[in-house]
Amino acid sequence: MKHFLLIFIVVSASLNFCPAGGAEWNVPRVGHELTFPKDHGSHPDFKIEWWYLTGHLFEGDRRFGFQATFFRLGQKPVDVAAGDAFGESQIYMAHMGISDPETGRFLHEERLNRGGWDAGAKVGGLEVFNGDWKLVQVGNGMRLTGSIKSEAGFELKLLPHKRHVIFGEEGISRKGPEGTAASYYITFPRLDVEGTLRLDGKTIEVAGEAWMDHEISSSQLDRNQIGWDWACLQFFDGREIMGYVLRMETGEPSEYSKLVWIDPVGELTHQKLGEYRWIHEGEWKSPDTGAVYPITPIIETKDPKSGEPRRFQLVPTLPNQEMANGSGGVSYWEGACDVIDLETGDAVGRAFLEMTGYADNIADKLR
Amino acid sequence: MKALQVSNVTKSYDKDPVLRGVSFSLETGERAALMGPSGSGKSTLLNCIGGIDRPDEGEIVIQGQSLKGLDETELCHMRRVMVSTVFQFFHLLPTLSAAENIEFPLQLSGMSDSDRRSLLPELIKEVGLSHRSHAMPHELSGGEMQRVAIARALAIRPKLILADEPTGNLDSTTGEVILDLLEAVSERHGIAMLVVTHSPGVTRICSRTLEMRDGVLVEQSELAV
Amino acid sequence: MEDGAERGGKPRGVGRLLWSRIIWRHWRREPRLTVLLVGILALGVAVFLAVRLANKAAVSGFGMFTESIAGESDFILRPRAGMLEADVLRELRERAGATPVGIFPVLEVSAAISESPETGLLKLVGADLVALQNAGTYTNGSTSVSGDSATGDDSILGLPDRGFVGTSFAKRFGVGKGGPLRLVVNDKVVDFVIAGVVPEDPNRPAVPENLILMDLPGLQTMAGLEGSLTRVEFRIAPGVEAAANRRKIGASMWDLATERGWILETPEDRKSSVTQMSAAFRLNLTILSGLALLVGIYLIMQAMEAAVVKRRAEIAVLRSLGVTPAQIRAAWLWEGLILGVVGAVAGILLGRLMAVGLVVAISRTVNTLYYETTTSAVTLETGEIVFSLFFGIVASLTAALIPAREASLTPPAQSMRQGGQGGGLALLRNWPLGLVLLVAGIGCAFLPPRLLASGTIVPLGGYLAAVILVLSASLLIGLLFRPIGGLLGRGKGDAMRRYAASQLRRPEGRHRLTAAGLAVAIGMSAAMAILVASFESTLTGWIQQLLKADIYVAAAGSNSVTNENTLSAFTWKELETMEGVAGMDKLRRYKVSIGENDFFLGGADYNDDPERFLQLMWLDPPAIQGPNSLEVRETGPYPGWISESLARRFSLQVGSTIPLPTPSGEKPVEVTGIFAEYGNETGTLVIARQFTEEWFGDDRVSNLAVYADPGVDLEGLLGQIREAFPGVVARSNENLKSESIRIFHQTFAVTYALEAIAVIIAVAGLGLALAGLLMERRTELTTLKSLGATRREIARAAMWEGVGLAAAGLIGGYLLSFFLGWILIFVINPQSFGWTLSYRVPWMSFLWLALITLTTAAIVAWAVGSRNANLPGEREE
Repeated sequence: MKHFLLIFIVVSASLNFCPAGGAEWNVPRVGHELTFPKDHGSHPDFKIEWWYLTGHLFEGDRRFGFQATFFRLGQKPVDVAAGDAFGESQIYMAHMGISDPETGRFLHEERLNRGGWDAGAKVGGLEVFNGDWKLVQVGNGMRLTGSIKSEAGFELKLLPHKRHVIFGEEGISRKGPEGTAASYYITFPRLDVEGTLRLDGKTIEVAGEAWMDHEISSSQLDRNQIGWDWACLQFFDGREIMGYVLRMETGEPSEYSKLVWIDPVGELTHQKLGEYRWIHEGEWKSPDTGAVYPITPIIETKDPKSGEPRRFQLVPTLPNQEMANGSGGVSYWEGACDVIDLETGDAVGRAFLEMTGYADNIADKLR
Repeated sequence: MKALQVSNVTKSYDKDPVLRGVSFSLETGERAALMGPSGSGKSTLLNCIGGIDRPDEGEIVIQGQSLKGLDETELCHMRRVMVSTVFQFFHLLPTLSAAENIEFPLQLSGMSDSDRRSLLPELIKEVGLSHRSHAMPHELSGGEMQRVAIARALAIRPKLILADEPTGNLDSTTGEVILDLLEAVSERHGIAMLVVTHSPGVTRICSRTLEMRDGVLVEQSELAV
Repeated sequence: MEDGAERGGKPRGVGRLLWSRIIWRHWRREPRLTVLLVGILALGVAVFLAVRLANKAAVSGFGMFTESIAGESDFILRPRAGMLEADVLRELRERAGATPVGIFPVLEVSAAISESPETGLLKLVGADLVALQNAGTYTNGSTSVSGDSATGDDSILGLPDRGFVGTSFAKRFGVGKGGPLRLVVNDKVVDFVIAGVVPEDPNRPAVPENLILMDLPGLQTMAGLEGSLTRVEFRIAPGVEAAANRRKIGASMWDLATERGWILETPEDRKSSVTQMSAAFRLNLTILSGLALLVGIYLIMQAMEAAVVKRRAEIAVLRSLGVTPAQIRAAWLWEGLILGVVGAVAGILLGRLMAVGLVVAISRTVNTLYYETTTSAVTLETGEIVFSLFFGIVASLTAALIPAREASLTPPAQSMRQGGQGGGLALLRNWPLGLVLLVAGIGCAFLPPRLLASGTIVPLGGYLAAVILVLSASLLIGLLFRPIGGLLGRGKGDAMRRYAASQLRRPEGRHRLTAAGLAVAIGMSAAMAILVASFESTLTGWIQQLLKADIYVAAAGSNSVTNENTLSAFTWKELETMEGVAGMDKLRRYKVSIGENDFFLGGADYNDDPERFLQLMWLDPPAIQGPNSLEVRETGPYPGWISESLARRFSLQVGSTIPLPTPSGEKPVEVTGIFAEYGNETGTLVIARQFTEEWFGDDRVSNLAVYADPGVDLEGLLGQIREAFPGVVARSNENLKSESIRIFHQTFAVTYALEAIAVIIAVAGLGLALAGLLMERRTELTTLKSLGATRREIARAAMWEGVGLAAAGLIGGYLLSFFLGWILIFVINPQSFGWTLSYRVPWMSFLWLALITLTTAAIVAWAVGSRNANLPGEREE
């Protein structure tokens, strides 16, 4: 759900699509059984869908963060007809990013295409592409091909370290007070990654870990919400956290904010706001957009295993991981972090942090 | 009637007085030498008399005709019929032959072709150039050029000839010959002459010497002829 | 005058002294003359630059829509004939593999505005408006069509009647966002709505004023071209691997293009291949800017020479004081250099301004002929600035060279009291050399043309001959003075006229220089006039022979050679069965390419009445003529007729075989006849329409020639056709003929304007030269005055002298023009375009030009004489 606003804003601002008035969009239903690998594929009868990969790559001591996101925004609840080169029913957006703390670089590119000859997503199995960017299922895992302008490129093999999980109660993740405001939220919390990274004209072998979300919905966000903070934490002990807060215009976090612990075998523990806290810490001002991001937030939660309160701070590997002024002029911060246990001061894991609604233009577009 | 009457003529260039009240006159057929150091105003006086320059004050009367109040065209006409000038550097029109140079003022004054044709050989003969009449100026010697210039000056049968150092650019022998020629034509046609010169020798054909200093005539001496 | 520092101080360098004491003081004391000199220099540079800039601006934007919307492409892929299938896009992406590249499909369709076809053709460009949002990726961050400024309130994706225009379009047609526009696409009338106006951005070329941007599938629907593309453009994103990626994409796409018989080219290739179409027009401009250049040099030389004369006494004094000739020459060259720099800078500014006006005129002409142009803004690039500066300085120095030599040869004051005989320019007296050059020039004209790798034929020999002849004319012009002087001095009366004649009989260097400048200007202008006249008479004859039908029908916008609008089979079949229509000739036209060269393919379907059969103007007639003579063979090689230009460009003759690229593969076509054609310079191949219909899978036609039944009321029939088919343009025979001639004249409109400028400059130069001459003859003027010549008489003498000079320039110029015209028509023209023209001299125009030039020269010279008559005599005291 976290990207819904973004995609809506980008696409509507740049192209002024017809609101899909009268169109009959499907909605997530309680108790619906998802079947795999079919449901890793596209669901054109839902309005919004994305496949979202973030991860940490290593070449010896050198470290990189990467992001690869494929969005689908339905215009009409039908798939692009086969052979239709310039479809009008689906629009595809994609973002790629590489952070390189050693040189302090953050490379990124955004892309927008209509469903058709140069962008699409297969129904019935994982195969999405946008230009030369591609994510496909290969055996039990998947292959990701990406690039950033003529600066960088990568070809990664991703294998699930543990089975995917589905967030929410009874198979759906609720977004708001209305019953339709919900999503199917499928996540691979830990993927083993290996492959090649091309940078500065050189190709290097890399390996590491990644996180993948696949979310399917048709609902729209509450107009009172001006942005959100989201993070996925991968601990060295084999557990993970996915958590977010939705920020209201009033400055208060929305009650639909959520945090989930995932244990090493995929058992989930959901926590509501109150059971966890998200404390804004740190300031980084973007030279591109002037937005100020709280880039070292602290998450207070209760460890479901020990029952003890825990305090984790996220520390970015590089302050500037802002996706600035992409297609449609929307900017957000999305970057690799270390997870510091504030009791011991030790690094206990790695994370990806996403912050939206801090650059002025997001708030403007919302109104 | 006097050939030339100059009364109290003044002239300044850029507030620098060049002529400061000059008066004198010439009788018909009278020849006078105008002498004086460089910068004393001789040439300016000559230009004023010739109507090329205008005096600031005073009056110049030629053959009873005052130059005062004449416009440019009338001055031109006066030069065409009453006053001729002979220069130190001859000032022949370089693209015209000797005969054409002599003929030129006649054409200007609008003389008919037949009159011109009868007059021209006479003029050429008078200055002794019959054998050189078709030569171009650059083919002529200094003396010959000055003969052409004199013939050209004579062509309009003027009442007054202004001569500016007529022998200044000639060797002494040739100079003498030219002086004789000037004297002869003056006598023959009763033409008054004002000869600007540095050379005392020129005064031999003059009856009078006018001496100029700093824009005034300081001396008018009668010469024994 | 002496200042203390000088007297008591250290000795200064002679050069510096000359500079500060002579040149600088001279400029300060005579500011008007200095300004005049700089002004002349500036004008020369300005005209030269303006023509270049305007030319560039008018032809720069050929078909380059992405340049104005998304920046310049790295590669362009297009078919040799017909269209690309949209299916190829997936294949292209597959071939590119993991190499990042933006692939932008484009469809271009021509259209006209209904009810006002005189506005020329519009270009509808279909691009994927969604993918276009990514353009910023390829232009180093700067987004192109960004945000909602360019977009409307509603989605326009896939809509066949919505599109964006640039601000210049909106201004030209007075429409804004939401504005309705009635377009004719092919033979269909479309009610169109402007979805938005793309704002101008100083960082990218303006959107052309005749371009409408649409969503690609929308345009496909509108034009009935579903699944078709005109071309595909490739963009490589910036980055460290950009060059490597460009190589990879270039290599893989080249392979694919070769496999499929497509053309892969860079924008430069494409520009040159498209601009080839306007070669005739560009040649025209090249000649004209060359004219401006030459006249400019003559002018500068005259001005510098006049300055030498004016200051001869000063130089003589310097020489007496011991300044060496070399120092004098150096001082003069320095002066030339400084004047050159100042003049060139002023000229660049002026030229930039002139170009703005000129570009409107030029682009209007180009638009009439070739709709694919954009009237891109005049841009003054560093290259042009440097070039113009260089030209200005070199011209100024070249021009200063001879005067500087003259100045250095000035004798010391003691020996020049008489006033030196001015005008060195010894070269100009060398008439035997002129004769040698004349012969050499004519000889050069017979050199064979050079064929460039690009397929462009450059008539080098012709150009060389023209230059040599111009030089020769400059040297020979001196021979004219004696007879002209003799003629002028003949007869009785006016002393001043005879005096003026005597000046001409003994011409100085300046006379020769002036007359030479005038002769060059007149000669080149008159040669252009001969070319235009020859062109016109040939064209008129051709049109008379070609246009024999009663009514001509075409899709709107048919004036342009690049019109791609067509009539549907439904339309022409309806027309064919209309009452009163006896028969028709049908022509379908395509643009095809062999190698790097585009040409036109015509599918002709002539009516089968032998009485009405279309008579082409044959240069090499086919053995079989008459109805159906093209359809005789069922299998290849298929018979085809080619135009003269095609024959020249591809070195073809009767019997040659052309491997014609078609969507159904390559077809052999045998040349069976060659005809004259003046409609385009790219060349045409005509085959039977039944074959194009089969090979291109297309039963549409481009033009129809309709023959009416005898006795039918033509006006009535025209009205009927127009009423029944509002999307077509139907013209009567007379109307089409006059329209053709009108377009022809419009094409040359700029020519006339530039010729006028050249002649005006040359006459101004004449005035300047006379002023110099009179200044030099100051003592002579004093003499004239002392002899009683009035100011008016002196002015009259100057007038006669000016008229004599102008006459020399005119006679020399016209003689030169006969030679130049001959070269243009029989050497350069056929070699460049393959057009045989008949030589025709526009005597009436010549007469007028002569009268105008003489009158103007008389007036200018009179004014100069009158002004200079009162020059103060040199005071000798």
